[in-house]
Amino acid sequence: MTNSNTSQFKLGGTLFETKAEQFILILPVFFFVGIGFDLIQSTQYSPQEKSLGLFVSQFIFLNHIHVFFTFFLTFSVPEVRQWLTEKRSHAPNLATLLGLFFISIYLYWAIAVPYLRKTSPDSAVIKASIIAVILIGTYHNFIQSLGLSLAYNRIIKAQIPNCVQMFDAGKATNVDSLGPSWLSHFSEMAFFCFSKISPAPYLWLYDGRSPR
Amino acid sequence: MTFAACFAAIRSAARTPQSSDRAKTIYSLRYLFIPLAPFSDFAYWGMLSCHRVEYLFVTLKIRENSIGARAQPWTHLALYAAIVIAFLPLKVIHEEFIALENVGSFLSSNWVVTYLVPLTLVVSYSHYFIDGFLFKFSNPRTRQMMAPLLLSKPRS
Repeated sequence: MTNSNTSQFKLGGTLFETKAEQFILILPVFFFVGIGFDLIQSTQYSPQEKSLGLFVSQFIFLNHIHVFFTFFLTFSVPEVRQWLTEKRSHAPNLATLLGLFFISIYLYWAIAVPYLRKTSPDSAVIKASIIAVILIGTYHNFIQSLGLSLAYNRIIKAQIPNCVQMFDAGKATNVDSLGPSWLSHFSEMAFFCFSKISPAPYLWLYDGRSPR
Repeated sequence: MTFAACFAAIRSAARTPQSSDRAKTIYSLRYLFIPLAPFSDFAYWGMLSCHRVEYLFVTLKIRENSIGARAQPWTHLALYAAIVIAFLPLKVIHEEFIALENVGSFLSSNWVVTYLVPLTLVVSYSHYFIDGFLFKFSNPRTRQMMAPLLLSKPRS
């Protein structure tokens, strides 16, 4: 198995290929233009327009299939497979944990939630579960960007001669100050959560629009 | 406050020694999608889209750098395509399933909704779960495994 002291790592490889990186950096520009229109004109989209937007993000930009990429990686990349199944000290291997996790989540959503829906449709547990799905998704988006952002830091740092040792450090090197990012994320999550549970006090923030 | 924190994060990205590489700073602008999501549909769609496209390129990079994965590319791709197509109708129903306003309306749903749609949630959660370990660069073993897969040769 290779390790982090490979020449690639020390010399500072690239995270994305040139064209991929250009695409990744340019893509948000189109959405920022849309956000500008949204905020300036307080645009209200019809359900059809919203469906079109979701279709673009869900299917054109891979929202639907990207979750399978993980499984694709797990099955098709031997290095990842080995890492998942290798023994860890004082803990079951990751594949076992994943299996248990998979079963427990399925039982919860296939048995517990339908049961609650029948017995007490207005249960806060159901709402909390659905909100958790949304929040965990948002958290996941954020943490991926943060992780790749840190990888960017390490790669670029490694191109500076005196900073090569950063790769050899035994712990994460947080070049960005993470505090504001976390604060931003969690306050946003709290806001999102409150607006879902009880939208009324927050309606003024939406300029008359109901929250998503 | 959320926006201030978000701008502070972007500013810190721009002020770090690698700020000469503009790509890093531009990349960090996507943090803005998260606080803007409740205010703008475009921010929400942007947040989803950027995340997925990044993930596609990361996946392709890992496969490209893996020695073992090059051996049987078409078998894996065919299997992958079959699973994705099988899950497509479920995913469409899933969007309705997790909508808060539909909490009571799925009470009399058929067995497909009850037993198959949760599979899409399980797949999503498992994706979060594996990614939580796969991209945990603070773990030395994970770094050891992922670094050679994630990084390509330096640009000339």
